[in-house]
Amino acid sequence: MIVIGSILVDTLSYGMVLFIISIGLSITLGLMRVVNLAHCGFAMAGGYFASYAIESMGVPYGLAVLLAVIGVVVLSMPIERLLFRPLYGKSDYLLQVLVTIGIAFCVIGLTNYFFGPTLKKIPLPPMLSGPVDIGFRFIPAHRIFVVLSGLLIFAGLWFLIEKTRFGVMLRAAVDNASIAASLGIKTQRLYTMTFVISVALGAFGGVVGAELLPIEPHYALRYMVVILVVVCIGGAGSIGGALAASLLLGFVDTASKYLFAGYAEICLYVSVIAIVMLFPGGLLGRKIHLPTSTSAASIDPPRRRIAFVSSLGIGIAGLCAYFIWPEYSGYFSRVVSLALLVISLDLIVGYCGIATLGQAALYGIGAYATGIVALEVGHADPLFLLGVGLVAGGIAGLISGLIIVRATGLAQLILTVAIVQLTLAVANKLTWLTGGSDGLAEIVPGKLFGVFAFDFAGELGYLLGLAVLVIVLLVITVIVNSPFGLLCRGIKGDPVRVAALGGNVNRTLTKMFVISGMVAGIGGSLAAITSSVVGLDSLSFERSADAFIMLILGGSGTIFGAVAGVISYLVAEHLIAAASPFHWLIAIGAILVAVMYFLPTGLQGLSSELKRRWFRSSTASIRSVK
Amino acid sequence: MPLLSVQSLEKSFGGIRVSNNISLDIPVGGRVALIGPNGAGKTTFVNLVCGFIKPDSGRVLFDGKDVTSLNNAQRIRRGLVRSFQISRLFHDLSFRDHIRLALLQRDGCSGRMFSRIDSSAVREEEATAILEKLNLAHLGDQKVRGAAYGQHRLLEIAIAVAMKSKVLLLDEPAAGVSRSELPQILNAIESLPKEMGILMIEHDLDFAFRFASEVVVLASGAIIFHGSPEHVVQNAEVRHAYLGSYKAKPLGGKA
Repeated sequence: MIVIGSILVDTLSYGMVLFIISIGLSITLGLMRVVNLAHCGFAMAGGYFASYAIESMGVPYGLAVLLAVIGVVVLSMPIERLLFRPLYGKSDYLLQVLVTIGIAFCVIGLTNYFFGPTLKKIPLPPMLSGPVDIGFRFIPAHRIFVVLSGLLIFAGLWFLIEKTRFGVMLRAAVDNASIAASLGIKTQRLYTMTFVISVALGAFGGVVGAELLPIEPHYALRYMVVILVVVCIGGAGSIGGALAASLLLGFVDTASKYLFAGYAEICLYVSVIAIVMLFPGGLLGRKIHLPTSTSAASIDPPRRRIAFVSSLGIGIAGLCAYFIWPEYSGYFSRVVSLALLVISLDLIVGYCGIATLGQAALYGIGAYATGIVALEVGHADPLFLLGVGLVAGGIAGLISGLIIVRATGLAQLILTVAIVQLTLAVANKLTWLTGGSDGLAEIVPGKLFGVFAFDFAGELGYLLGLAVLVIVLLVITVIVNSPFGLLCRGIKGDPVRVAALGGNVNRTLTKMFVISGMVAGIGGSLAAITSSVVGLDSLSFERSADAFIMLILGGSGTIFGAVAGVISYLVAEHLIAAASPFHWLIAIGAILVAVMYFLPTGLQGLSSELKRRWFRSSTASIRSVK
Repeated sequence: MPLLSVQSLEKSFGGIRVSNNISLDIPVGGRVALIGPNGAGKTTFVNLVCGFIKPDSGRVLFDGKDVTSLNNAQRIRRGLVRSFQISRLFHDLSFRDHIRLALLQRDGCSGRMFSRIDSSAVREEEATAILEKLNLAHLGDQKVRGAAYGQHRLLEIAIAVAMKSKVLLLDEPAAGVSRSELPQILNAIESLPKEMGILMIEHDLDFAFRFASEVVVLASGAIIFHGSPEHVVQNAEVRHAYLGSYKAKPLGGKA
């Protein structure tokens, strides 16, 4: 009984924190159709500001909360003006995801740069820090404060939206922005005001929720999934839905912490996947149809002959690099295995139009399977180990594909993140198999073809990797230029139309996930063989996001852009991260935002754009000669 | 035996009967126009026939077999195809790729991973022939994005041809097309294979009458007229349905 009571009490306070933070995102998503993955960044900034105000300036708690909220709002205004405004309503959602992730990276980098990378405390005033007797146990007074704030915000928002003039205009704009504008509602001002309310609520939630969601450097990404799940399940723009979803998620999280301590994270992500699959359209409110077409950022796949030549060219360039700098072979191996990861991502993003932030799960599973088998067998044949990675990746691709293709839009994005987080949690928990947080080390493959032994400099590993990369590029070129590849591009364009041609959309996408999983699995396997270690970082969300950034840098839908993206990313990382890892986060965030706004087709797109301009100008000059 | 036979279809949304005992046959080579005022239930009818929604009662027979329980994709594979009122095309694919995709899908080859898109000379010739027939040959390798709207509508019809449909449901093929482009669309529809059964939903009565040998008028979910184009304009009930308020009473099959 007491356990149930405790679970319910904690559910209430935790759920309210989730509600306060997520309701702002829910409203902006409902109104402006913007998936703002940087929302938790604003909550985090609020926490940092409040902590600084209290700890370094000696401001009292209440005032510090106010200052933090105002500070974040002021900070967010130029961001809204410059970066969010072009996204409202019209841009496609892949662009939104990448730009807002870029902003989140910048926020993380900047807060760490200014406030340091440690966990920040927000000391409570005596009135809120004491215990309160609620019959069967004591709870901190602060929890009651949180619950009351949540209820107050709920009531206030309900009044604002249902009973005021502002609310009527807001609801009209949510329903149909262009009709609302034609009635004389200034939608742009409405958007800005809503954005301010959203950011203010987020910052407030970050400050008052700091006891439950501690303020630390990676806050912005760590709680992003949970907040997104609340918004998705609650239904964008629905206050009641967001409250219900917050409490449901708070309950799942709290109950699994009480009842399955140690497996709480696994329980949470399994529940998230189950809930999102059961309610893809949300509990309450309406399903938001995000604009999905990756409109402007689309270029043709490479033609077969050009692609074959390019594959061989990459092989030759790789060999040249080896002969010039053999001592960098280990580094080059990393390029090759990451390139395979990015190519596998391109198959999903560039050819099927599915935005996945969980691709590292497939890569990491390939790496772990290889590591486990290698340690078990001892001096296993390296080609056999690559086969293990391929099969493991393919199976992982099949399972995640079956889950991911069943949802669309925001629900789909959440599923991809939940899958990679679940995989990470499982790998972390199965210490006997995966080595837990230590990972696997001293993976030593046997001799290649029974003749060539692997050396410490990694020269053989690199040559093997390069050969694998060229083969994969050749095979993938054939596949994307096949009828199957055409069908996938059709699905990317319009799945409903493909279904009306009699095509089986889900089965086709799942097949592509298997192929993608195989490529990612080989990449992971190669990383395990050449670096002889496998760690949890190989299947982290961050690795997925990195791969996405490399893909965007190189240009999606081109396969060869992937290789260019990896190399340019690693070079930039090498130059900037040497100074400070947080500089690197700021830089990568800024690069991402800049690429999405100025170069949506990536480096590959830049080259074809230049080519087009060149040809256009040359034909123009011919015409003028005539 | 009719190619498509719809028997006493009933469908209600809430308390509103959107399909009220509709029966309709389309024979081999039939050219039927389905007209009716806004809200008559035309699109619901198409959705029922295609399997996008399930009827409350009644049956759909296609090619002599009961397809009422089959879903949309299964009906398409048997040759019951529709076009869309608002063009749904793949903006980044070329005109030819659209036809290729439809042909590959029809031949069950769209899942092949290791052959080329243009590996079959027979299919390539067929694609060329279809594009030529619909006056789209000169656009073959051009992307659909940026092409004129009338060309989009022609491509919709070309896809339907490529799919070798036995019965084609054209949902307002001329919707949004300018007057000057109308004859092109009509020519395209007239050039469709003779043995194909076609049901066209249309707002533009002149357009529908030039195409159809039979006209079916739907109002408030029920068929109020079924006969030749010459008679439809003289029919008092039809005029009433279009011009004044009308309470439908089901006629039960052919009038």
